[in-house]
Amino acid sequence: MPPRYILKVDNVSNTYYETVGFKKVAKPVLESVSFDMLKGQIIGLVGESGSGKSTLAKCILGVIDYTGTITLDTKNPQMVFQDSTSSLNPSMTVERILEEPLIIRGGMTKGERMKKVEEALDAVGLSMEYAKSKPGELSGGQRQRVCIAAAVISEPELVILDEPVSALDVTIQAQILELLAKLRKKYNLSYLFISHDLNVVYQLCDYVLVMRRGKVVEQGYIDKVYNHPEHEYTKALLEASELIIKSGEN
Amino acid sequence: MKTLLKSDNWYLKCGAFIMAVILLTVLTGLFWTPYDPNYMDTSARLSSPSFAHLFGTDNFGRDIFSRVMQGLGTSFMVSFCINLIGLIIGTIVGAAAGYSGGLFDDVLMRICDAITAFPSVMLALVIIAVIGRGDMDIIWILGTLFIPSYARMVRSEFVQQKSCNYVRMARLMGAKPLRIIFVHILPNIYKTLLPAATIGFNNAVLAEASMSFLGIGVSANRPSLGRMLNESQGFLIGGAPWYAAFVGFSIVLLVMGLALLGEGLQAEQNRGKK
Repeated sequence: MPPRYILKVDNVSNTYYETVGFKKVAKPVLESVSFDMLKGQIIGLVGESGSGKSTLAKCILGVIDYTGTITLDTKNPQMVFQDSTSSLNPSMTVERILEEPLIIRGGMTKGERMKKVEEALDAVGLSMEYAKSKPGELSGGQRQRVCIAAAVISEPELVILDEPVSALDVTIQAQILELLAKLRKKYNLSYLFISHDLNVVYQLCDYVLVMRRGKVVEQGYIDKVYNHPEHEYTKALLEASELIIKSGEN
Repeated sequence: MKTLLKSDNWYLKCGAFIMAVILLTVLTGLFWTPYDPNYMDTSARLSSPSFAHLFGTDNFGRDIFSRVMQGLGTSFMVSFCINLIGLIIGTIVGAAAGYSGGLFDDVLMRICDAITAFPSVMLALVIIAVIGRGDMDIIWILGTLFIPSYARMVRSEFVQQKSCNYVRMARLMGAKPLRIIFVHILPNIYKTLLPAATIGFNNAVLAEASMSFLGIGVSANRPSLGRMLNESQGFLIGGAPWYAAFVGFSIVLLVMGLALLGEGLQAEQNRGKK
């Protein structure tokens, strides 16, 4: 069976226009970004702040305009944001938040929906006692679990994770990463994982894109890029992050 | 109720207490007043406050306390309707403008600006002069004039909420605009609308009283605080100063109760934000 590409990004550029005085100044945010994503793959997107990582995600979701072509071979890609507080509607209960995507999709009875909600909560490791809580009553880690549950409940094939663990402390980070790996296996998901933390990317991803100032400066399989970086910027990033890679894995 | 008693939010406590007393008076006034508010006892004209007539009587010998009870009811009902119209239509206009943005938003907001540019009582006077008036026309006219303030508030909330991630997520899930407006955004803004509605209520009470004072409020067979204040003017010096005093006092009490309640709700809401 030939490999199935779930996402093909070809020569995508995005420009942001800033008004300085009366003149409009073009600021390129993305410059001819290209990469392909196989079904089931986890691609890490690393780079400093302002390198265009989130903009690329928005282009893929079709929220903003771009030039070039993006071919999505899947319906309803979902997204998990860094800020779990603003990702969850403060006036809804957890149960209601998770039920919403199912209501929008339609075709399920109340009973079926509630059963799926229960499954999703269980899948992200939250007990049913949280079902009736409002997001404000949960901790950061719990909120992020709810966000992940809300993203996977509509059975997407592709989930874009925009710095999902950056706002969490290290132990919770590890739990969430473990959860993401587990869910990927369970639902056969593909992730586009955006992060500035190279350690986190190393733990989770198979393939990595290194971005700088809107360009992909280096891409390749994780072991290759981490052990034999070619671009100066990648080398600098790796050095700066004090990466803990076990020497045995070389 | 218990949390209200324990709370250290004195604005809210005092406001709630005053409004509870007024509401009780109004509700009682619907079913029972000490005297028929329109019964003219010619033998007791302009009598001073006594146990028989708590607030005294007016120049026709009508019991002022009974009339104030029903006058408060009229103020309440009229202000409530005015606010209901302003709130419902204002919310629809604000939501449409804030959600869609662009030219549509600009046009709606400029219309609102144009309406707010005139003093509302003045504009209402002009409209009434042009179209004449029926019993409850004042409600429609003032209600319309209350739309812009609500619309502007709802719009700014919508603009803010629209960029929230949960609204983006809802859109990603394929939710239709109406669903996003009613299910995802509106439930989050009632906390802002509640104190605003209280202040709006307050303005409506004052607007209604001013209109009645000028003789163009609700029809003459209903007791109205504004008109009573107008009628009492002639007896301010010499005749019956308590007439104006009691009527004025009840308007002040109503306005103060609402203002305190609004202030208290606002404080409560700000505390919730922290």
